[in-house]
Amino acid sequence: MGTILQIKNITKRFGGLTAVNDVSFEIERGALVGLIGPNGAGKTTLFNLIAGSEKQNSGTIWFDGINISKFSVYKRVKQGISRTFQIVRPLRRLSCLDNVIVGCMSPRGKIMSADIGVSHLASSILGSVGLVDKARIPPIVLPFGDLKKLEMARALASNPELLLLDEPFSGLAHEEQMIIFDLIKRLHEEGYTIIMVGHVLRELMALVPRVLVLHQGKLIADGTPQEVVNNRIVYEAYLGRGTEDENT
Amino acid sequence: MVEKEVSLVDEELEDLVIESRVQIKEPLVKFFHQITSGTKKIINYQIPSSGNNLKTWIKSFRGKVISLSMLLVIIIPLLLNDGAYYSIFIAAMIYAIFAASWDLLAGVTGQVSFGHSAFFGIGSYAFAYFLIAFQLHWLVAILFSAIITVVIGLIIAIPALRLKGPYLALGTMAFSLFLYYLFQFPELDAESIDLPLAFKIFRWTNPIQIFIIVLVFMIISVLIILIVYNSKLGTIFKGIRDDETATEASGINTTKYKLYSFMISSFFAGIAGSLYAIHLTNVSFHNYSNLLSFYPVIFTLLGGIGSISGAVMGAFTFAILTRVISEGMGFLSLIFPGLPPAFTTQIETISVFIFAIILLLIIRFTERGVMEPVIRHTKSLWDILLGK
Repeated sequence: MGTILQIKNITKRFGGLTAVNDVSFEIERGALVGLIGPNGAGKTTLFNLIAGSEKQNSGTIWFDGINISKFSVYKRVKQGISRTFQIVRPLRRLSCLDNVIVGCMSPRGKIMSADIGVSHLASSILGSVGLVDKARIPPIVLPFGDLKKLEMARALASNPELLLLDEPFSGLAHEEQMIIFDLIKRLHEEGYTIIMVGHVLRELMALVPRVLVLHQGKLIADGTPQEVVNNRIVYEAYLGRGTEDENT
Repeated sequence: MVEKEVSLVDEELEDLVIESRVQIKEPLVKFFHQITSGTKKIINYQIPSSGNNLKTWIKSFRGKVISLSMLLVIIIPLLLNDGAYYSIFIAAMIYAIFAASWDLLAGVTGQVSFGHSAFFGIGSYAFAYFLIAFQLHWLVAILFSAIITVVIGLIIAIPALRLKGPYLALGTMAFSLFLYYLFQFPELDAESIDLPLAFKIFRWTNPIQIFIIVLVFMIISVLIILIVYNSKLGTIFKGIRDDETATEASGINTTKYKLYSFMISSFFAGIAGSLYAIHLTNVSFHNYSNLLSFYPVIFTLLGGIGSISGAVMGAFTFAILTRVISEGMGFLSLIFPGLPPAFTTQIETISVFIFAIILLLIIRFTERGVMEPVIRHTKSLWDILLGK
């Protein structure tokens, strides 16, 4: 299968704050990886760096053998990286179908829709996230859960190989979480490479075979969920140091 | 070294790489189909079929009202058959093209330009130039001047589109101001150029001919802009307006599409400019004036921004309303001879003043223009009359 994403010593500073500090890791093709960490650990910044909406201060990003460190956002989508936003960003005055059509009009989306047509592909994608009955409705009137699904549909529309999902479960009811959960599982089985940020550890741990833990911009752990949960550094990062440490 | 070599892969090779990769991913389409096989019927229902759109549009109340008012616009001047009325409607139609082109750029793509008169002026000057210097047929001259406008529009757009929001508006305004003063230079000798009326291919004395020509141009232009508006291209334009970052994250090269929008918009602004030159049989530096830049803004806000037909309707409303007001003022001064003399001598100024007040009220009470509320209220009135 080989490596699809390779991040080498990437650093991002905002003024005096180092949001991502010398992070390096590799993602195998077809892997499903969780990225966790306490608030402000730099998860979203790392996502922005991979997707290209922020530029790193130093370090390189390799995607499928190509150095994409200096690529703009749309060029990275053209290479096959697609992302969702933690704070949903639907195109508010377009219908849900048009929201997805915009993604299908990207170079990769066009190739995918060459046979069946853009509109048909777009509604198929809407169907896959369970929004097909709301295709004509503008997202302004949709509940938050549906916006989250629409965000997924928009990311899928550009026919990515690597999906970056920023908090796909946050703010969803349990049943809605299960729909997204199933979808991610199916996409994984289909061969997509997926990196997802999560706050809700329970869902994430059940889904992903590999977890990366960020804390204060640094990668502090990398392993299976079990390993990570039992990792002392991770435990401290989330809950603070135990009393034993204070005594010594 | 290796990094540099790989990053220098040219675009074509990149495309090839992507295509070969996508072919591996072909089962994806099947994957989505497989998921949605149960909901096929819903999908077929949800996809709008373009063939039925026009039919349902005309059958709908909105479609009926718009097509009826379009018919009226064509028929009324022909019935009145008066030079002055023709001239009002000709101006209104030219402004309609101009406003629709501005609406495509500002209302649909979200790139607000306060210097649209630059394109209007370039179009009219290029038209005069082609007509006088090359003695081209007027139809060819209009087309060429529109193309020249697109080229110059591109030269402006490439640096200007780096600006966003108010800065873009100011930048385009600065450009139109620059042209406005440039064409006043005596050395250029282009302050005012009369078109050769006696030209063998340009000899209209009857306003009805110009009326029909401008009408045909308006219908074609607005139809093309509407087709763009409803196309996939238009969907991308609207996406850029709603959220440029999100659209780019969907893999769209937003700069490219903003340029497309600029090009289409300046093309039709150029056409409007050359029609204006035909209408006045004269081009002057006033074609670059700031007031002309704000006309499409006013018309579009009046009718309803981001809907093209609103811009067209706004232009007609403006033309007819100012005329009605000035007629009304003349009538008043006849009834009340005791009014101050300013009333009779300054009718034009006062009617613009009254129009400004009406515009203020409209903007205060209907943020999205008058067209939608008017159609809605007419519909409810119609329903009441029919006893529904």
